[in-house]
Amino acid sequence: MKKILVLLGASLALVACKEQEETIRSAGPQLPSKLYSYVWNRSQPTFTGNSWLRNVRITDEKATLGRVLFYDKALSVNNVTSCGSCHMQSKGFGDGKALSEGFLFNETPRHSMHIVNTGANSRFFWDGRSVILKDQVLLPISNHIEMGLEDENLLIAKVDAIDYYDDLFEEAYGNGLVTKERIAEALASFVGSIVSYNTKFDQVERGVDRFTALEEKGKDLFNNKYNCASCHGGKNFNAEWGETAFSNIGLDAEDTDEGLNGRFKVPNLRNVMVSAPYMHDGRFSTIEEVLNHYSSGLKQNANLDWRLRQFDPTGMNISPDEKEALIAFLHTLTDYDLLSDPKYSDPF
Amino acid sequence: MKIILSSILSILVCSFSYGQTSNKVRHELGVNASGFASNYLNFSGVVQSNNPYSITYKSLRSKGGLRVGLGGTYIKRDIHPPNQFSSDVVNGTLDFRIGYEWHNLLNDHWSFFYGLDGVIKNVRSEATSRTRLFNGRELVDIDVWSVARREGFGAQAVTGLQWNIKPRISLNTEARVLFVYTEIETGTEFRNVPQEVRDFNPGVDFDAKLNTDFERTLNFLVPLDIYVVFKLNKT
Repeated sequence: MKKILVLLGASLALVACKEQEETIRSAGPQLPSKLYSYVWNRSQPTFTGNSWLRNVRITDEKATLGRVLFYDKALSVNNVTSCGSCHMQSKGFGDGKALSEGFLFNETPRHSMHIVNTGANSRFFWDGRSVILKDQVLLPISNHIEMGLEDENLLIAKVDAIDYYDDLFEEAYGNGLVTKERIAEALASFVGSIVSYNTKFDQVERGVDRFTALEEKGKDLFNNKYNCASCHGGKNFNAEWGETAFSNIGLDAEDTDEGLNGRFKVPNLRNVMVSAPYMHDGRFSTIEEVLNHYSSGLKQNANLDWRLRQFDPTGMNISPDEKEALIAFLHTLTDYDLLSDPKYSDPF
Repeated sequence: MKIILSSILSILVCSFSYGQTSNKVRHELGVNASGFASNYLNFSGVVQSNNPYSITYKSLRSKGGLRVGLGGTYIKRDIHPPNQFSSDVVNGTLDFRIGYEWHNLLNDHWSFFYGLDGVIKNVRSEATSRTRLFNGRELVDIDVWSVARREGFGAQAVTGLQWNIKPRISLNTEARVLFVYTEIETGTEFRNVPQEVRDFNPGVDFDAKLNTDFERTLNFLVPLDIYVVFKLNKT
């Protein structure tokens, strides 16, 4: 009995010690002594469609602050999730899950959109409920499922109490004052700096590379026979403006998610091959399943996009060879430089 | 809510009173084998379990009998971010059903059943963590507790097929029409907040904020799960 009591006492003491010793592990962000360059240079396409880019000047200091905020789990109410939890660089700034997990590990109602070339977006989120990136970046932080920090004053107080932000705000804004507007602008600067311009497709456009015969066939199918480009158009492979930026692609006969009047944002296809699963609910885990849907899985419904009504009621009847070619072309939209560039990586 | 609870009670009373008409009782224990089966029967990755009951029990007489199902999960995570306080997050679910089913033998190997259940469906997620805030002179640690809770009551109509492979072993699956009324509570509570911290951060609302919402759902659930049923006694 005595031994048991001694062991019990020792265990309690250990637990008590652990409790007392719990402090913040003070490893701050690992940042380079010379800041990375986030400001676009003239060789990059600009994608300056969104009005926030006309009003916000990205600086290296603001984007660096934004990078730290983006990956800092202190921006969630219980220090469990950051923006980077659902937007991982290696997955094209998506998270590889059909539905993401929030700060309590509860699932979000929709799939995380992958982030790239946001300057070409006219609206954000699958239902387009946000039109300015500076507004959009704060919404997941305050969302009761995603990061749970609903009180913006608490967000400011938490960031203000973290020592490594003193210098970062000072460098970005000239003084250490933490405000909601500065947090939003810094996050938007970092997110806006995530620009893809060096895919194989871009290199072919610049004349420094060539498509294979299969990729060329895929491009032709994409642009002509199946006219995928009517939705995923331009160098950014999305529909940038107005009503055409949202589409109902016949996923269900009866809509299971209202979206924007039964439609969802047409996603950018850059890095599409590393950003599975697909669709607003992540229902398709592979690109083959997506092509099978367009080929023979369309469901007729009242909101079905007019561009898809030109085909057979169930789809485009894409042959296996054509699917192979389309996939080969989609592979040329992967920007491997972006996926591994240290300036976009987690600094913690 | 009262109507739902009354309905569940009525089902129970009916089931027990109906059960008195025959003395031959057959006890069946079912185990949800969908996870195991999905290793061998994966139809392009789209098959997902939609029946939360891990274990079912049936006490059946000649025409039908009591049916009970129980399922749940419990996950505790201790998360240590590199630059912040750790966080304990607990996620738990509890699914319980009790009801009555009628069954008909179609032939020597197949039987058909249908029934009604009262259903309890609870999901609870809780996190305890700390945050560090200024009080004007120094940093102070504050405990933070967050919760997301869903407490649901409802009823379901069930119909299913059972394949009696051996006298003691069967497989079954069932489709359900499920109605659930759910009370949803989410919120955050800041504990042990010193007055100095409140005074220094006047814009922060440190009072407990629990938001309550209600949801009614009606779902038709197709038979995706396979149960292996063990008959515990011969009849």
